[in-house]
Amino acid sequence: MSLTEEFLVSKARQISKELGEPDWLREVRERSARLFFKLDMPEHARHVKVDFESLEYFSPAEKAEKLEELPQEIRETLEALGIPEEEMEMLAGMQVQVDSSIVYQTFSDQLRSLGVIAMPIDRAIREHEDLVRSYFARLAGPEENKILALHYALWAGGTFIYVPEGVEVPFPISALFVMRSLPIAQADHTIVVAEEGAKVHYIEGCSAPSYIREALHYGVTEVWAYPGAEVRITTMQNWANHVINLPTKRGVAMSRAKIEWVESLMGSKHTAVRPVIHLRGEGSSARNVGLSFVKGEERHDAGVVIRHLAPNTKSQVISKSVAKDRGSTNFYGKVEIVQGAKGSSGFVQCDSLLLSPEASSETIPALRSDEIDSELGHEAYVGKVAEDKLFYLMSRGLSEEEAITMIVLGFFEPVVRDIPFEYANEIKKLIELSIKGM
Amino acid sequence: MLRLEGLRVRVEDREIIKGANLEVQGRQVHLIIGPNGSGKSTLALAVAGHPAYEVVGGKIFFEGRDITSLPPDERARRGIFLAFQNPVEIEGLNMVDYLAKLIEKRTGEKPLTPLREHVVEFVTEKLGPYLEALGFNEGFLDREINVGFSGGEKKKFEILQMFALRPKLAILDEPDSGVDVDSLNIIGRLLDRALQEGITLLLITHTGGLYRHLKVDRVHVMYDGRIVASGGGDLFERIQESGFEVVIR
Repeated sequence: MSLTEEFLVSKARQISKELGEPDWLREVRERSARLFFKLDMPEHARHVKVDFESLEYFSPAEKAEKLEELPQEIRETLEALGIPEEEMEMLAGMQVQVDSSIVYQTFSDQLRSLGVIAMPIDRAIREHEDLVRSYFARLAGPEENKILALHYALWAGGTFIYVPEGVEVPFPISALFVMRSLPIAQADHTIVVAEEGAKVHYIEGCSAPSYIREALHYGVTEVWAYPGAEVRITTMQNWANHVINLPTKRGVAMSRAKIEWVESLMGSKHTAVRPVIHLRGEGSSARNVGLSFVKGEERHDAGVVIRHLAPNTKSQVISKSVAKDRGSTNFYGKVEIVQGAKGSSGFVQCDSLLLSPEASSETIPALRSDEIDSELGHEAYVGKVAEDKLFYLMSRGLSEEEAITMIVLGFFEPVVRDIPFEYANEIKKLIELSIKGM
Repeated sequence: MLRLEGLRVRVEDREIIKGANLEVQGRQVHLIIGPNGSGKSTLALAVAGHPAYEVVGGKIFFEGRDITSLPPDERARRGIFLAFQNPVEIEGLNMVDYLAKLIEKRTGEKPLTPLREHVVEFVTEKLGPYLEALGFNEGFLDREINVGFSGGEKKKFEILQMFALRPKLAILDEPDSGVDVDSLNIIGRLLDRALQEGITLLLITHTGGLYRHLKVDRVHVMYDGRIVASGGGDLFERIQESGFEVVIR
């Protein structure tokens, strides 16, 4: 198959038709499909090789009414992600997306009675079209780069969350994304909107079982935190080593709003991600925490861009990464304070741990302030090869796997400590799982 | 119990152990002494199986079996323990969870749940008398492995791990260096206890500080990568008096 403009445009139309989308969305798809051929890869992913022609771009999956009806291997994947079934039922709301379709969803009555909208985005488009339209593609557009163009042409699935003014969602809302067919390209689109004073915690788990040979994940997440709102997003990704992971993440915080993004990223052949958070309102803040683990030939090019656009804004970036075998983990931390953003401060901290002499890690800070009355700080620590730690534990009779798990969990501990217990536990399980898969 | 036959060990292209022969019998206390740089720590690390210490000649036998090419965890499972001269720090790894894991490895028993109170209860039940004898209180169990420990605390924590694992042979690399008199007395008492409990001790020391705390069966002198002399207590006394020249020449 060759990926021609004609093919892509007709694919975009087909998806739009199958999902019963309104015209404006179909037009975005068609326009984006044409843009794909004119644009370059995102700057931070220039070196990532993607074989666009070999991928399957739309692969609907069967829907299930109950969790028990999900195929066995999907339920196993959910378990493997560290979320046992009994716990899933307790979550305020959740959905499961397999390939291009949401196959399972449940949202509690409590959420509905609070006026919270939390549903698959395709359903939100049918039920709350104007609301979705006013936020869709506002923080990341198809004209920016090739991957975003492809996303807006072919996206399918994702979550729409809208929390009304003053509402605090008592439990996290969660979504799980699983890639099953091969070779698949999964492009979920998620929008989280927290109105003034609202509070919400959204947890997304992403996984691809190891039998996937060739896959691309290029989802988009757009986050809006209105004055005084608090949005916390926890992403737990566990990718097989054939997945190329090129997500786009954007957030904007109005005055006094807080965005906290915790991302645990395990595996993938190559991940290149550069979340962008704009601190647009006075007194707003962002905290970005990244945990990453690579093994084999895997490579992570992670990073974050935070722009301080108003006075008294604060940001904190923490990256902790572990590389094993010939794995390579790199972090680019860009924090900018514009002129006039008085009293603002940004701090970037990167630690990495190498579990073998061939593993590598690099940290590239890019701190820039055009405002005299502001503060920027950076601290990087590339841990030396942890061979002695490994030997110490193995000399106690612990297997290599047990020893690595202990060292890695210990290394992540200062960050995981700040995460609520049950989610911290899930992240820990995910790390253990990822190490087991070595 | 432990037998080294013509052991040669290379570290980063340099041969440090140049043909060492040694035999340690069960339920005895053996001492390896020797000047700095003679290869004592290298010998200990090679016997424990450190991957950076490459055996380029000779063999290591433990209980009659050749263990020269076994990975370190397998050697530990067979009953070899090494108390490190410079124990490494492992950030974020909680003492109590770690000790529980070691006990689980040996006995197959586990705490009731992973909740902290149950883990503490489990560890205290299994190691109570040793924790007390070493002066480790409950607050100590909350600390991270060797992080911020004083020299004495590090050495004592090595001894504690030995009792958690109950090896057949404990190699102790300078358990007496950098510790104060009180800690030295405590370590001496506990090593004697270990011996009573059936653990064979191979002590590496260059100060000889623990000598008078234990009934030493045999003394080996190491020099330039070889065991150059072996003998009883009188050998130790002679060296204390006149220095290593007595045996080196």
